[in-house]
Amino acid sequence: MKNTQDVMQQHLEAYLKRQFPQREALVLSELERTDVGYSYQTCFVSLTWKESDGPVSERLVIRVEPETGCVPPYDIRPQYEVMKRLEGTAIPIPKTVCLETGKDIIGHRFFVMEAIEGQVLYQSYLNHPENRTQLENDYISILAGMHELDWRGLGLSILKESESAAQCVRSEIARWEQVIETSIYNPLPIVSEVICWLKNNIPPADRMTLCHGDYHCQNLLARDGRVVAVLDWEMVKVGDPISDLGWACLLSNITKGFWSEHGIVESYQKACGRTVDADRLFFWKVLAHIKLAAICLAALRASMEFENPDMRQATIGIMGVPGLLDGAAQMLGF
Amino acid sequence: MGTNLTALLLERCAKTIEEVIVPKVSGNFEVQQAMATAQVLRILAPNVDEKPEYAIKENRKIQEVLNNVLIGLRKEADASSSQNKVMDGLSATIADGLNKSDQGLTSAGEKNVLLKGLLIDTIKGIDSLAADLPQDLINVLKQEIRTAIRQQLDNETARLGSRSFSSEFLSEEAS
Repeated sequence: MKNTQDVMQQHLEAYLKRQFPQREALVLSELERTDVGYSYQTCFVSLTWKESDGPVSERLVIRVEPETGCVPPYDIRPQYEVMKRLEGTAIPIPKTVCLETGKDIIGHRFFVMEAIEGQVLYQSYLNHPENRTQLENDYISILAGMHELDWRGLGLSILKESESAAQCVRSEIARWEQVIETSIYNPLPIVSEVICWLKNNIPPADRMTLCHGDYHCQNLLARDGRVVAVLDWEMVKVGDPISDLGWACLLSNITKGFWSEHGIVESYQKACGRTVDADRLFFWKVLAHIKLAAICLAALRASMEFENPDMRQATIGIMGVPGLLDGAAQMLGF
Repeated sequence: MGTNLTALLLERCAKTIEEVIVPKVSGNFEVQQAMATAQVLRILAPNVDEKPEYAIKENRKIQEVLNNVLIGLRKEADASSSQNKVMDGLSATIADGLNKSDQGLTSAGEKNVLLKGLLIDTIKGIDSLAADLPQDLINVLKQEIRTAIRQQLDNETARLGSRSFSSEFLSEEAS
């Protein structure tokens, strides 16, 4: 009897043959499910086919939308559309191949993109101190560059712009509040207290830009001392660019050995030629704590209810939430 | 009623051992060990109670804080010339909730869930009254509430000890 992986490989091969009818004798092999990330499942596959001058091969990545997970609600389309439209800009991203929004091929929606050779930026940063300055420079210049893109001009209206910057922030607060409410097992008064503070302290945004939504050192790939890809666009949005900075600062603060928050903010200011308002950054850092706590709580809920439990998700739920909520409380002075 | 997360987690651990790990284990002895471990977890699961000491302490503090909030709101209502239905409604909710928590609930865990829910209602209620109440009173009430929340946060982090979300955790993820 064939196992699930064999069946998936067979179905994917048939699907990709239809996507690439010009590739003669196409064979898909080496389907490898990685343990990277907690939300979308990432698989690598190898394709080989015949061309007039001999056999050709290519490595591809399949990003599979989960049934449920730590970043609900799931919609695979925005990230795919954004990645597709960013091709050819200065933002290094894997080239997309195709999007499958039906679930009849492998039971989930998925998209295919090119596999980029590289190491997670964080590892590269730790392993190659001699490259750190260049990696820091790339890390920030890519972020600042993303925030300068003409997202309307790139046809990214799929990202649904809010009526106002304040409305956009209110929607974001509401999203994470809802994720927490639907994920918790027991009441958490701290969340209500912080959410009230956030709703009463929405800062004015001077611009609305394309925001990655999950920009940090584990979502970038580096090779030969340079950043070569920005991955994991599942939380992409149009919003206040300082939201990306606040998120990057929080993640940097809890990631041992990566660049300091101070360095990130200083470099960002230099790269985009704008002063970052301290109150605005403070707000987004508080919201980042709530957002990450929401993701951890959703991970815990998913690990308890999903048919195929991923106990890593339970671990981040149990271990992550208290420290994050404690961090938010400390930021608010209690 | 609250959920006994510890029991649920033990059940989940057993399921993971049986359905994810065991199918990949080749040795008979190792499979038997894993299955026996899962069985022990399943036996333990319905019999574990979450530590009541923390809940008892938290309950005492929340009751104290809510009583103080109630006194503050009632004083304000007495001093005010006009009636504020929202404020009266919040006072009634707190008073009812405190009564319920004193009657009929024998488990510290159940009481904890009820009181935390009441504390959440109070946080939201005071927030909605921000424009109607003197700022000094809001500050005092918020301060009271935050002391109760701080105690809960300290309990949660103490339960985890050194295993809380830390740089070390993320570093392990990357390796």
